[in-house]
Amino acid sequence: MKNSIEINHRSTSYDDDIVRKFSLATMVWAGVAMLVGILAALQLAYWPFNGGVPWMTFGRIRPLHTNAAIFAFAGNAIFAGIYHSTQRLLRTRMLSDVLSRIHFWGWQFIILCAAVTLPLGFTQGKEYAELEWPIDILVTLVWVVFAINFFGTLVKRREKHMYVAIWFYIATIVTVAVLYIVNAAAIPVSFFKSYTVWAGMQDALVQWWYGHNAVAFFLTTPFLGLMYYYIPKVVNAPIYSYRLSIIHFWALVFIYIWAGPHHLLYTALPDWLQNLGVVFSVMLWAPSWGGMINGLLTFKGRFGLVRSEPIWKFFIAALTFYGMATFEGPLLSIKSVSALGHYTDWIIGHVHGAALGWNGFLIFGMLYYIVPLLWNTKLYSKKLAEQHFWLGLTGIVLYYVSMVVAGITQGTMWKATGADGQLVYPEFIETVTRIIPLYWVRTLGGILYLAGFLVMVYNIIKTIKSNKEPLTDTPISNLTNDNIRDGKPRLIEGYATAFTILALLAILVGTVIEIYPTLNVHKYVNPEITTQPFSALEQEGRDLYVREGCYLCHSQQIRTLVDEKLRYGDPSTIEESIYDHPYQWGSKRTGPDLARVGKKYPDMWHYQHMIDPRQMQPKSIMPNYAWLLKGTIDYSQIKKKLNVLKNLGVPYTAEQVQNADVDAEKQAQGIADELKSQGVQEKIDHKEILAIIAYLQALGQKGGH
Amino acid sequence: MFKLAFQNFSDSRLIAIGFILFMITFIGALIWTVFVQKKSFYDQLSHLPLSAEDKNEK
Ligand code: HEC
Repeated sequence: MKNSIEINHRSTSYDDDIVRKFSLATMVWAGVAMLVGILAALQLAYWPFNGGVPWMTFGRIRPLHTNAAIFAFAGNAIFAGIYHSTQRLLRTRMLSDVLSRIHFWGWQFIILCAAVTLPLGFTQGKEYAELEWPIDILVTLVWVVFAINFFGTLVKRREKHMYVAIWFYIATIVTVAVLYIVNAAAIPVSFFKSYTVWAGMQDALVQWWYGHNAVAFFLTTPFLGLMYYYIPKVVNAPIYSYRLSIIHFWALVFIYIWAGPHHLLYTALPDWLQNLGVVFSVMLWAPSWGGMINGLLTFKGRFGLVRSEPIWKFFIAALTFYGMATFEGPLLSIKSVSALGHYTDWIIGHVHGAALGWNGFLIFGMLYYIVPLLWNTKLYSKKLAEQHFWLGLTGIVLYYVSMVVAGITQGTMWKATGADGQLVYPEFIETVTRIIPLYWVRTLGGILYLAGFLVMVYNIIKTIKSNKEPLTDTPISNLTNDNIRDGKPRLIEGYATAFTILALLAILVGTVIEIYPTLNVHKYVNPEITTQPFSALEQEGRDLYVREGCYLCHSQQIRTLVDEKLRYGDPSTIEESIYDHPYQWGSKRTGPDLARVGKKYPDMWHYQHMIDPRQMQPKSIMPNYAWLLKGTIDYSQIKKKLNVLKNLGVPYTAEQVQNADVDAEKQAQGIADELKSQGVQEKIDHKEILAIIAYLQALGQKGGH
Repeated sequence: MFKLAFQNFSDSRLIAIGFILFMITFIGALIWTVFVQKKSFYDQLSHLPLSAEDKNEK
């Protein structure tokens, strides 16, 4: 008897419990993401904040920060909003409570795995795609569970028309699946180590096709879906122009997928691809602003109320930041602007304007709106929400302005040339020390934003506690009003399958046109130029470079710009990185480019510099890597590694693979003996530092140009 | 079959034709949305989120 009531209850109510779970998880992970962000920011202002602990250094925690912000904070929020709004828009419970819970607990487990493995240095070495292959498989499985649950709900819906928010969710689910699987494709060496199947320029393009579309389809389309649902809800009025929302949707789905190459301007990527990326990026400006204006005009005639409604403020500010970021993005894609802004903190400012302003504020607005509904109570304090808003806004402004100024300052210093045609600031470190004060301002901005968030946590806990009744699921209203079989014709938005296929086609066309030609990479490679693969020890050093996250502060890609040639040498070529799995071109120069650092200094210089950079460069902000003196090279894996690389097309001979461990040991011994002869006292035989030195000395020395 | 299709794919004229078809589809969809579809239908759709589903909604 009890069972049948239970079942009946299930089919006549929404699953609110799952939304509560995702909402709470959002807040927990938001705190983690922000705290780690502040720790990273502190280390750039004052490097000893890493405490000398390997797993706390910048290169290890920066991936933790970005992954936590994107997949844990934004991810859980997206799921909360999607589960909440989808059930209501389709007037049915999710397909399966069990799948919903597998999704929830699976996702939290993935985040935990990430939080443990990333600081330990297990990484694939590609930004926002660092997770190693076993976790990638988990992500894929959980995403499939989510997709089945979502599309199953579409099938059993009671409302035949799919509101535009649902379109955005569909685009998110199919596109993220494609992006993630293609970019993460890798061949394992062991449980914790793999090499991406892509190499060099190809890997760079696939990575930024992924990276940019993670922004588009993880941090934009789902949030637009939420925006198109929650703004009408809080304002209690329909969206200003539904027509515009449709255009917004198709324009983004058609255009976004092409924009990735704007991350690779002036690099070795073929010119036509760079130009394609620029054109599409600039085109994005129009639909994005259409969407922003559409959202803002929904408040039309009610702006007077904004003063007394802090939650409205969050939504309006979020839209404004969406507008700012989608204006700045196309601007930064213009080649001459990219020449200045790329590799600098301007980009860091840009992403935080978007992440804190657009994503963060939209999430906070949504939480303030749904938490009282889900716990069947009222928001504890509007005043605290108001304070949260102003603290957060001040934090973002400080963060954004300091980073844009830092970026433009450093960018112009890098470029400055004197009357003699030489660099005005040949010492890279000069351009770093100049912006350190701004790093402090940025940290303060982050702390204010976190403080505002903590005010919200308090407010939300108080709100939840104020509910004294047992929590129940919301009953579905108008149960009998099922228009699915009313026989009236429907348009494309009434057919979920056809719609999904169309959206998928739109993103696949862009993908294929953009990525396929680079699979024919040989067309762009000059057959006269040969490149040697790294020796076994150098490859081992490269893996350590990836483990330590050096690529998060150092680029390995000299652009075709005069000042870069003066500072670093000839521009990088496609051939040079053709055997690099993964590519390590980087996206930020907190330290100088390393593409041609090989043989620039003697081994002894690197030895001292790695242990304590301040011995060689007193003002350096690079962390100490003293633990490279303790760690021992694991020769037992090297054969396997070279074998995997050989299978991926790196031209190692069978002999080189066979003797990899012996060769590596020999080369390491050579470096150790040399260092000892110059007076090194420490026990350095077989230590990791030897492999790193070998790798650094090989950079730019393997031909290919 | 795929391999053959992909081999032809490096032909830049084919890329251009595919691209133009793609843009025509897109622009066609825009024109259809703006000029052909009736406003009343959109009004109906835009009200979908507004039915009060939660107990303590205003
Ligand atoms: C927090 C950012 C940061 C990280 C992480 C970092 N570096 Fe640096 N690195 C710098 C800065 C800043 C400089 C310039 C000052 C100096 O020479 O120490 C630099 C300089 C260097 C130089 C000298 C380059 C030249 O041309 O003079 C080398 C080599 C180098 N780093 C290697 C590495 C390696 C290897 C790793 C990873 C184990 C690493 N760095 C991690 C910031 C960083």
